[in-house]
This record gives sequence, C-alpha cells and structure tokens, in this order.
Amino acid sequence: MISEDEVQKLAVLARLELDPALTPIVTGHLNSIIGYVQRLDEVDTTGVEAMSHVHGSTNVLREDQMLEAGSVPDATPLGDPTVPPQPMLDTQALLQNAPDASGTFIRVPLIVE
Amino acid sequence: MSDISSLTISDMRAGLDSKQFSCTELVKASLDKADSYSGLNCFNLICAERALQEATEIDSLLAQGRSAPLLGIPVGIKDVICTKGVRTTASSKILENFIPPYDATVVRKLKTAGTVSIGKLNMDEFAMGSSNENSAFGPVKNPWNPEYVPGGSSGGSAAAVAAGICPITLGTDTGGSIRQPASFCSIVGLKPTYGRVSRYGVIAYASSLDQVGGFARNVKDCALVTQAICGQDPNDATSAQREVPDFTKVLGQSIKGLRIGLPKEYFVSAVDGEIDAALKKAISVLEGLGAIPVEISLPHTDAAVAVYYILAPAEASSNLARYDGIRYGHRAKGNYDLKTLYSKSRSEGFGREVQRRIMVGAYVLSTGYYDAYYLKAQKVRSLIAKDFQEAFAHKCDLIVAPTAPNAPFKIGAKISDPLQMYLNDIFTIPVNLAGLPGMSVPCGFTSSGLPIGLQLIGKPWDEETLFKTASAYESATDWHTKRPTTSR
Repeated sequence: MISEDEVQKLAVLARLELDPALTPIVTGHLNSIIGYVQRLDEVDTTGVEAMSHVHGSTNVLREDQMLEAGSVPDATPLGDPTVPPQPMLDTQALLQNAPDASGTFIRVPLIVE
Repeated sequence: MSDISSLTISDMRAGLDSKQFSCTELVKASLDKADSYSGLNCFNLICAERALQEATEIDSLLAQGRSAPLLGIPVGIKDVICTKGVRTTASSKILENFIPPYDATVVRKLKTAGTVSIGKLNMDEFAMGSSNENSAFGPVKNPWNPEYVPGGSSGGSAAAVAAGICPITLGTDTGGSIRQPASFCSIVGLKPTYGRVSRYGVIAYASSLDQVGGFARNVKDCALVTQAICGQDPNDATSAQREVPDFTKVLGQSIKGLRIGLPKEYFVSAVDGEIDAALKKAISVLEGLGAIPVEISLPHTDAAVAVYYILAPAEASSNLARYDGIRYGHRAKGNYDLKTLYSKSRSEGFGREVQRRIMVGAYVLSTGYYDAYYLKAQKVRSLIAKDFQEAFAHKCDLIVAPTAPNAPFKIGAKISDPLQMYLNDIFTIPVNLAGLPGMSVPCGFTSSGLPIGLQLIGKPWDEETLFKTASAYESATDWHTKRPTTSR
C-alpha cells in the first residue's frame, strides 16, 4: 500500500504539485493500479532476459552531419520522396514557442541570487 | 455533386483524374462536412485556408495530367504528430500554443504523396486513454451514437473517417489506440510492425511501443495510406531498414489454406456475449473462404495489461520530463523559484490521467522498486513476445481475436475508474508489447447498433497477410458499407 505521504513525495519527485484535497483520491487510484500490476509476482521469470527492444536492435549508428537551418526544402506534392536527415532548426522558429524570450535567449525567472 | 468527401480513394482518384471534380471542390466538401459534424468534436484545429491553398497547387498538377494514388486526397492528422507551422497540442493544455518548427516524417511523406491535410484531430491527452475523454479540448463523440465514446486515444481520427469527413487519417497506437477506436467506429485501422514507420516528429508517449498507422473506411484505402507512410528514416534510429512491399498487390488474393490461430485466452467469459457471437460468425466466414482455424494458446495474455501499466508509464514519466515550462509549452504565471516553477507549470498544464501515469512511472522507476516492477515487467514482456513467436513458428499464419472485450460505452461510464478503463485494452496491448502488426476491421453490430471489430494479428513485418485476409473478409461481408446515420 502506498500512503498519502508517499504519494506527496512522489509528486515532488515527478515535479507535480498535488492538491491536498485530491491526495486521497489520487492515492486510491495509484493503489488500485499498483495493486493490479503486482500480479506479475506470480509469473516465473527465472532465466528470462529483460526486453528493451522488440526486434533486438541495439546502437543503430550513422555519421554525424551538420546541416544548416533551412538547407533541406519542405515537402512538396509529388516532390522527392527521399526523407532527408533533418537540418538544425531555425532559432527564431524555436523561440516563437518559448514562453518568454529576449533576443536569441529564453528568459527565465531569477535562479541564482 | 453529392457527398464527394465520403467516396473511396479509388472513386476520388477517378473523379479527380477525369476532371469530374477538382481537388479544391473535394477539399471544400471535406471542410463542409467537418463543419456540419462539428458536434462530434473530431478536430482540435481545422486548417481551411492552408488546405484550400494546397488544393490550388494540386489542381495545377492535375491540370498538367499528373496523377498518383493519393494526389489530391483530403486527410486528417492526429494532433500528436508535428506539422510545421500548424499548432500541435497532443490535446494538452501544456502544448496549447505549440507551433512545431518542422514536419514529422509521416507528414512529410503524406505531403509528398500529394494529400491535403484539412486539420489536426482530437485525441486523449498525450495519447493516454481508451475513450478520448482525456482531452483538454473535450471528448470526441461516436458518429454511430453521440452518447457513446469513439474509443481512444485516436478517437478524432476514427470518428472523422467514420463520419465521412475524409477517407483516411493518421493515428498512433501504443496499447490499442488505433485498433480500438477503429473497432468502436466500424472502420479499418492498422498498427504496423514496430519500426515499420518513423516516429520522428511524433510527440512521444512510450517510445518502445508507439507506432503511427492509418484509418480508412475500407481495406484498400488503408493499404494506400499505410504504403505512403512506411519506410526507414535517417531521423529515427528505431525505424527499420526493410523493404516495404506493395500492400495493394495482395488485395483480392485467396486465403485458402491460411491457418488462423484462435487464442483460447482471448475467447473467455470476460468478452461480451454479442462480441463473442460476432467473432464466431467472422471466423466461420474466414473458414468459408478456405482458412483453417487452429486453437492456439498465448499463456501470458493475462499479464499483458500489468506489464503495459508498468512500462508505458515508466517511459512516459521520462518522456514527459521535458515539459518544464522553460523552453516551450505552458509556463505558470508568477514569481517562483525554479522547482516551484516546474511543478506549477506541469500541474497546470497536464490533465489528471497524464499526471497519474507520470506518478505511476516515477513510482515503478524509483530506488528500491526498479527491479520489482520495471525489470520484472521487461522480463514478462519477453515471455509475451515468445508466446506469439511460438504460435507463429508452429501453429498459425495469423491470429484472429476480438479487438476489444466490449462494445463502445457511454461517455462518462468508466472515467472515474482508471483500472476498468485500462482493462478495455486487454486484447490490443499484447500486440504492442510484442511489436507485431495488428489490424481491426468491422465485423458487426450489437443489438443496440454499436460497432464490433475483428482484430487480425500478424507476424513481424507481415502486414501483407493482414491486408490479404482483411480484403478477403471484406469482399465476403458488407459491414464496411454501413454508414452512421447519426444526427449532426
């Protein structure tokens, strides 16, 4: 059983803020899920290897490439079907998504006094 | 011209190539249909202006006599797939203003094939859900009965196709998110073999399970959309270097002598009686076509949901760590220290199911529990995959099963009990865990008129046998010709 205290600690670890009023409900849900998955204890896995990739591929490597932003044209109807390696992304396009930006920087609250 | 948006791709192709209608007219028809079905809430965003502009370009290609299987075909894209310059939210408040600076590879491929995207489709937030009720944009409704869920997580993708808004859409499937909504909406949906399709530009949920696939109203259209998106991608190291066959070649071929495995663990009392009856009928149709039913056993079936709800949340908790309110996405307003800024932004931005899975993931990966949960689940995953390998090596050429244990349920019916919701994916999850291709095709209706789906599960990389079998079944039945008559 996971206690409400543990659930609060877990929320801190996961960088979530848990509303104290909801903690009992969340604790109930987590206990029902964790309780359910514990049925795996009954499965004998002696000598069984852990699977991390279904087709067993590991460390697929390729040469690094430095492609300038904008060096690969966008897709066009009936254009070249080869999928090109993606180039670096345009700074301005990326900053458009930043909640707060200034020049070529992302602005954050003061972290170090 | 009446209702051209709900034609098959073959009929659209003929109409476009013979100048019976233009791509602009076709796209307009799709947009009108989307508008008239706005009550279903399929779309998070409709890109009318952009779509009509692209249609004009395609009309000039058509005027030059150019043609290709998907040239000028309207499509919809699940909102978890990045589209350059077009808002992509994963149905989450945390990404409500996110404009991707690049196209996902599957989007690039569909654009090159000449399709026109009319918009971004609603889904469960970050693809976590089986009913499309976990969306910051509200639930999607089932076109067959708007009081019922369309399935999830790709609920918008399935409902848009079932309603005849466009012939094909893209979805993603991590534990059944293509097959279950296809079943709930009486359409065709295929989750290809893991690695068949690039995940580049697809917002990650559980990377070892996620796969993109297509929805369509018939098997041939599903083959066409699948064909367009498959193939190795230099931008996704998990996409496989494998030849992609021409999936349309096998359509119409005989299934005489094909051994269809019926897992005894899937035909159990947990399956609704009407579903069981529809499945048995479907099996006798396949038998009538020359297929040979063989009973098989997948002994670890019962462990699959438990394995999934350890591995998927674990992967999700790490994949979703990137949403911190700093570089992109929602940032909480106010003067906070860094840790508080993270937790406020995340708690305001993520919905309840997403937060729940992040916490389950954090729990099973935490010190002291890693071996008991995560490692154990990875081992049982090996056993589940081995069950399928054994069956395919010795007994059968494909497996036939229900897609879901029950028909669509009412909106709100399961939302307060997460575990009951999870158990809805009991027959689809094992396929993701084993990385196999899986498909759902319409196979009947309940007495109250709700759709039932037949699931076909293939050997790795053997989508062809699924298409061949589904096409044979489709030509012997008329389920795929039925259309919802729901009020708009």
